[in-house]
Amino acid sequence: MKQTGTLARQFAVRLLNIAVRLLPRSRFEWARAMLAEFHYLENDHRAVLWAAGCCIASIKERASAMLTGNLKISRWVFCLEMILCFVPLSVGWLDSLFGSSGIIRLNSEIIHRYFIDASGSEIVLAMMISAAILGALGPIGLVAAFRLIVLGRPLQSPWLGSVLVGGPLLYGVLTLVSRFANGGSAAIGFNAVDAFDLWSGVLLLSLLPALGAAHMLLIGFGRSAAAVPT
Amino acid sequence: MTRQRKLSSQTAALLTALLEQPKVWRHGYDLSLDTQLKSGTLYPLLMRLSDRGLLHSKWEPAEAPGRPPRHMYRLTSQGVAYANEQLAALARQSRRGKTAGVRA
Repeated sequence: MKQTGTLARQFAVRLLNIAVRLLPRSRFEWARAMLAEFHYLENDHRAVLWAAGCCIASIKERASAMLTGNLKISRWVFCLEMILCFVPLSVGWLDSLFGSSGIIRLNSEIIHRYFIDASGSEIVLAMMISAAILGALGPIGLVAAFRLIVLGRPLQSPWLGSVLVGGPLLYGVLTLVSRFANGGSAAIGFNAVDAFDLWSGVLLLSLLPALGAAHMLLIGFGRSAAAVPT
Repeated sequence: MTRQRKLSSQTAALLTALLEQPKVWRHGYDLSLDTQLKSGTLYPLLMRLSDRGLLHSKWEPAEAPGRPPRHMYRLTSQGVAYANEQLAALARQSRRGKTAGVRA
């Protein structure tokens, strides 16, 4: 917009340009509406007040777009977040199935020799199986996230949403409980020999997927809920 | 599920202004003068109403040369029903409040 007229009007034009830049792109028509209305204001004082109000309206809209947490913010950032949250769990799941100690390699002889006959190893077998089951939430979460990002379809099933949040958390709790059962409080402390492996595992395979799933549900809810003017 | 919250005085003022002559198209500055709402309050309200399908908007060519087209607004039929319902509820609440005040 060209700056012509008095100093006050030039200032108002500057404010309006800021307001237009602040408005989310989806509100472009409203930016045009505010600009058009400005041209009909003869009084400079009113023009400045109008432009300042438009800046406030733009800031409100920008904040509202951020608070409702929808894909208008940046789907690339959301995409990276989902990869960070669900890829480690997916890799862990593949390892628990097909890795060197994956359950696909288990047979009755191995189970008897290493888990049933060896006392105290049943819990390790239970953890391997639960990791193979709960780890499947990694690829499921990735599919759900990309369905939301690419097709804009949020999760329809509330129970699947609950499982995506609760499953990884359950896995984290089971991991800590099994460690505690085997080695006491020293085994889960930060001074333990493999404390880094344990807690990075809990972070990557339990906390991040659960938080990512919760964020995905929140975004899905934001897309389906209608905002009511009050 | 939509949230049911108490209508703000600004939304009530805007709905009242739009309901006065529901068939007439109004522009932003006209509504601002009528409701005493600043543009910072008026436009977010207009956007919300439009998002919910309660407000029609159109561009009207300028009458004077050198001026840009103006964005005009009026309530949709759904918007008229919504405004009537909400303003009636507000009036009932206000009457109840006054009655309670008198009794107290």
